[in-house]
Amino acid sequence: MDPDRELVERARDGDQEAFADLVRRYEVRVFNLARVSTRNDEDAEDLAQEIFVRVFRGLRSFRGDSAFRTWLYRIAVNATRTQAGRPGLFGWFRRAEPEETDGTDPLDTLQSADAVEESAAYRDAIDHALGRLSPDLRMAVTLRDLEGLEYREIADVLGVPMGTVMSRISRGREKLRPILAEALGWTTGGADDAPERAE
Amino acid sequence: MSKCEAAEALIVREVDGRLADGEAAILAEHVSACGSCRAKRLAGQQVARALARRTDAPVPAWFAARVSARVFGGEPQGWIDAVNWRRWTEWMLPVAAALLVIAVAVGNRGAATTSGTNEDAGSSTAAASSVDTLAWSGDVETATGLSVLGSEVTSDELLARMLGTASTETEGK
Repeated sequence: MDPDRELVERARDGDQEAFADLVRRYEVRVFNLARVSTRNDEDAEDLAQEIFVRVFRGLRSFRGDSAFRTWLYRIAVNATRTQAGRPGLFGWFRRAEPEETDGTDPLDTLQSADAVEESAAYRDAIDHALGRLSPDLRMAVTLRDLEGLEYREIADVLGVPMGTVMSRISRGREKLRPILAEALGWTTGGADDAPERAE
Repeated sequence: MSKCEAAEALIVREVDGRLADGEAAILAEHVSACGSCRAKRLAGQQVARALARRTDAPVPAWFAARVSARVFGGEPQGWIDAVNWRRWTEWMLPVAAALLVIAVAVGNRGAATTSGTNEDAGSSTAAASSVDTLAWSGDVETATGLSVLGSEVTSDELLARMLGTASTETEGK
């Protein structure tokens, strides 16, 4: 049974608190999905807000054929496709900044993952690396490795066959490897060079 | 489907720990003989571990409240929206641009007017100087009579008339 069903039904009936609970339940996931696409917190917040607005507007047409979470991710993915190419006013300024300053890529600022793994710099490096992938590969890898969705759910969200999902994840990871190696200073052990994440 | 294409899906599932026992043996046999798939498996393992170590970005404070305000409309929720400086600035940009255009237009008009009345400006300066002289010399009556120079309704005609009067009175004394 869909764990969100009760909240969804109440929100659909206009219960503002129920909708707020849904937002709070998924805000971290949606915000981070948006951040991978926008690569900065400000635009990510705008995009995440837009996603939840679309979710609310679509609640009446949500029939429960899929889990609410799957449906929400579908809306989120569509929103990132349409919005990511349209940065806000400040996005244009930010987009121009790196080329106009010293021309360095944020990835280049990371010499080693040792000291910064838990930091925002590590997150920025990962997000910028993902940003170098095509949207299809980026979304497949993001949904699997950052959002933790199962293959079947990713296929439902993206509307593609399972085989396509597996292929996109594989190719996405393969393309990411040299980008991350350069950014994080990997030698031979790859991610093993970095210390384990503190839980 | 080639063996490598089949192995691709197995590699993904192996990296994610979703491989069945029988599949593991098949993949191991293929990878041992295929350098390309071996490299693909290593890349998959390294990247998946690196991405797993990415910590979530913290959601901005009051995010849910701002979403509710957008969805349900009505009044902004207290100072929550008021502190959103970014949205404020974006809203103010068109206003600032309009003010700039107005300022430039007024500036141009003022410059044109000034260049056409430089001579008048010169006589006005002389008049003001005369008033100052009268006031400091203790001629309060005359100075009071000329106080109209400081009023907002001063016109060129009035200015000329008052200057004439002041000159006459000063000469008489």
